[in-house]
Amino acid sequence: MTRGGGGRGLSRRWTRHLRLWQLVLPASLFLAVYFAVPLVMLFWWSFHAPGVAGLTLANFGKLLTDAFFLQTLWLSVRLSLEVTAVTLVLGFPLAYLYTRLGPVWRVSILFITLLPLLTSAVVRSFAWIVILGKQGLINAALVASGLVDAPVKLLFTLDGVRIALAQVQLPFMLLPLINAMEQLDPSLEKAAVSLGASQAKAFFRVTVPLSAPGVVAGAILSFALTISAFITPAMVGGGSFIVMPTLIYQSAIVTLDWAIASTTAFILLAVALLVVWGGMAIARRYRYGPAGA
Amino acid sequence: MSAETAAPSAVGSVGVGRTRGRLGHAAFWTVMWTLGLGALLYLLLPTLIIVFASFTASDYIAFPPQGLSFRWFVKLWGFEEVRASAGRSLLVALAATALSVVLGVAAAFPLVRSRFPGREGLNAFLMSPLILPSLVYGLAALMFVSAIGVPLSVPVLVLSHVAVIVPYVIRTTAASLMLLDPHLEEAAMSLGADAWNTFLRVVLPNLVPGIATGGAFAFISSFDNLTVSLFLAGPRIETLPIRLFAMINFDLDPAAAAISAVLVILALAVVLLAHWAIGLTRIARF
Amino acid sequence: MTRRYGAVTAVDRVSLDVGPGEFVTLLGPSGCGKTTLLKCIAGFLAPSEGEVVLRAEVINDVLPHLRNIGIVFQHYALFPHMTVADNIAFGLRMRKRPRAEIGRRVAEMLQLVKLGGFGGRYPHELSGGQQQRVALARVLAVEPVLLLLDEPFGALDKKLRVEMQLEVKQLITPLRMTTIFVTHDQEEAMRMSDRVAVMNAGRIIQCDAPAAIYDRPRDLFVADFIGNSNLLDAKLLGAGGDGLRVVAAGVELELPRDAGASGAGEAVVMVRPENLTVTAAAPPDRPAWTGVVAFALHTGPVMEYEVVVADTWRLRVSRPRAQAGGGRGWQEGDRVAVSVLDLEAVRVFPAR
Repeated sequence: MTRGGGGRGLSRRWTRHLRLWQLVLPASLFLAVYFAVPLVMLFWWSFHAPGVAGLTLANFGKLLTDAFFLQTLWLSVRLSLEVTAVTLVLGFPLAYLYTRLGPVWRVSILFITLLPLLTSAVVRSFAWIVILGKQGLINAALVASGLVDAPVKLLFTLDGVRIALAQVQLPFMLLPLINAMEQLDPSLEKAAVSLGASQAKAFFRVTVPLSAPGVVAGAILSFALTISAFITPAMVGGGSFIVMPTLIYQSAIVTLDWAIASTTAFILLAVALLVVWGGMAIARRYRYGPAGA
Repeated sequence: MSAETAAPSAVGSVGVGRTRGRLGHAAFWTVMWTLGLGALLYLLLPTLIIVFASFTASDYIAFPPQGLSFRWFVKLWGFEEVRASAGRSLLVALAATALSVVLGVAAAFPLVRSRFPGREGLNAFLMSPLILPSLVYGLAALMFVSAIGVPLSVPVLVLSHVAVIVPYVIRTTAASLMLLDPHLEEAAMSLGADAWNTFLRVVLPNLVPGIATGGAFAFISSFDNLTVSLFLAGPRIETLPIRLFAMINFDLDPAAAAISAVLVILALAVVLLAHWAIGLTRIARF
Repeated sequence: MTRRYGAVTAVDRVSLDVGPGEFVTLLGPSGCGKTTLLKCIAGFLAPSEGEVVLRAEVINDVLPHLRNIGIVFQHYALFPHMTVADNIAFGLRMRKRPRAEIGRRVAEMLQLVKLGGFGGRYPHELSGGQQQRVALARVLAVEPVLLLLDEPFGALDKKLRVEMQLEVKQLITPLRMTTIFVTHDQEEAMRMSDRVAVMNAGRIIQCDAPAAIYDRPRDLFVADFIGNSNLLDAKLLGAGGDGLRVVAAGVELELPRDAGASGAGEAVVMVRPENLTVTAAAPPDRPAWTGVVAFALHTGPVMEYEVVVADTWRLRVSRPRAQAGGGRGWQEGDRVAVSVLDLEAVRVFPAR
């Protein structure tokens, strides 16, 4: 056993009293104060209306009876579900290919998936503005191929936002899917094929059901992030339509109506949580015990 | 080689439906590859396009760019506001990353090594900023700060970034720690190293790739962040994403494309660092 | 048939003929190409050269799901999201058999593997041995023309393994199912097979009945891989009298003419440990080596000795304890003589 000198002895004295679990305190306290408390405050605000004493549901009442609000809420939910569905349809084949290809392909796929994730949402939305514009790539291709006579308006429309959002959210669907599919025993599909199932049949009857947990994880993440996406709908949608996040931003920064802002945020979170909960319930129904013997 | 069977009632023969089988097989893989490559292209193109557009020699954004030149990058350097906001972003990101690394690395140890009641719950809590929409957090933080009477300033902004980026550091550090062979520490101690020495000479060096990667992700998340900054920067502080946002809303300027290209290159550097330090396939499992 | 991966030849000009109802094992160390060969037969890999012929038909271009070949995988590959009954019914459903027939057949199969009543369970509720039986039932349900078993007992412990080996053989033999079995465990191969194909580095070195493989290995690799053997450098002295004269580690032996190599020159002599005996002094009628016992190990039914002879050679001798005359064996340090019991069982190979 080595014995430290004077200075070392001092630090070792207090390290002896330091319990390991105490190391988690700084981060926990910080987040408790600067993350949890503000959220609690937000919820507190949504139950307090100006001019009304004590807890009240007045804010909720005001919003949930407002046609415009309900329309926006419905638009947000619908848009997020559509985008999530698109990311699933595009992400699943790619995740499947990932599990069947060699290391060079895998690293490349991950590279192409991670790069947009680490790029600012502003940059990605800007790229879509350039692509969707009247002189953008899509229109240029459509006109050049003769499919349309004049450039189609894609920018500042709901369709444009769908296209942009799907690309932005695709990595969030892809990564959980890849994780789940990687854990499947590859001989399961081979077993199905050897028993007479064509590649497609084996895929749909074995691989797809067993990937359900991954699909749910990806869908939950994708939905929750899409419904709360602010930047992309704001930039690519322009002022032509509003989603929930835009409402929140406007009421917080522009009209400074914090009661409304916090209530809208609360409702947004509640809806997202509802979907997450629903998703997890579906996932539990498909739990098959250890997948792959 | 050949094989025959004398089994009395063999069901079906070999090779029935060969051509139909091949067509189905080909069709399946064509669909898979088309969708898969399509998805890859879909992921990659926007980034590539904006980077290429930034090299335009003309005065407006177009793709393909008319002529190639670095002029917008050069011009960028001349814009006072751009330089200032870039510097501001750098300061905030560095401060937030430093703080996150200290908090996050410390927190990772007990989460992996200790057993205490509520560990799972605490883990979920510490990871929650990753799934909570940053929009909601930005609003909540703004309300909190004004409720306690603190004026918006750079430190306030830094702290709010820390809240959303510290989970990255915790996650990669914890994952690295879990991959660390516990026998290494036992071997060191059996050879005479005390706890401190073991930590400094055996544990920490093996964690550096994980910490560095987590730190890099944290840094770039802070540098790129717009949503939280929009709420907490206030009218007087401007970060680079805020400046970019304003520029784009005002006019489609190749200067904006140049700034974007710089941000993309930054992201590229982080991905390469992550691959070199830990390997992308392992990170995907974190 | 040959199968290459870029510059690596995994299966090198292999030619194998399996007759109807035969049980052939592909045996070899890992990396010898046996799994690759199996995949080529199953259709998951295409041969780079050569043909796979099933029932006189070339099936190179037949997709794996149309080959009607049954495969049992190393970890059983039971579908975790289906019940045992659904697993067994899978192949029949793929062949679009009528529901009544499927039900009947599944029940039949469950009875066959003695798991009647387990139809509603899920794979993760079963033990390893039970899962193994479901995997077999699943494959036998469709009456394949060929059965491939890819190290199916790898995940079981020793006692269970031996039980399952017997069970599987008992199931397959009455059906006269042509079977190709892959393993790296030689005991298993010897116990179950009609013929064993010993593979190394992509080639089949020898394909013979187990006894022939053991008693008459064709080359040094097989001799070394199967069972235990003592390999001594030797010199061939040419034919003499009725047999072959060889000097091994200083002792001259006269071996039968078909002992392996011929002519003169450097060679390697192989003697199995159970073919040697240890005596206090050299017996008068047989050539023997003299040396010192290096260690004596009591391993259950046999005593294993290692005797150092001619200062350099270590001979392993294995004697059944029942014969050791009252349980007394030789001990470390004893000076002894080692001689061959049966010269006919000694093999000679040309030096590498």
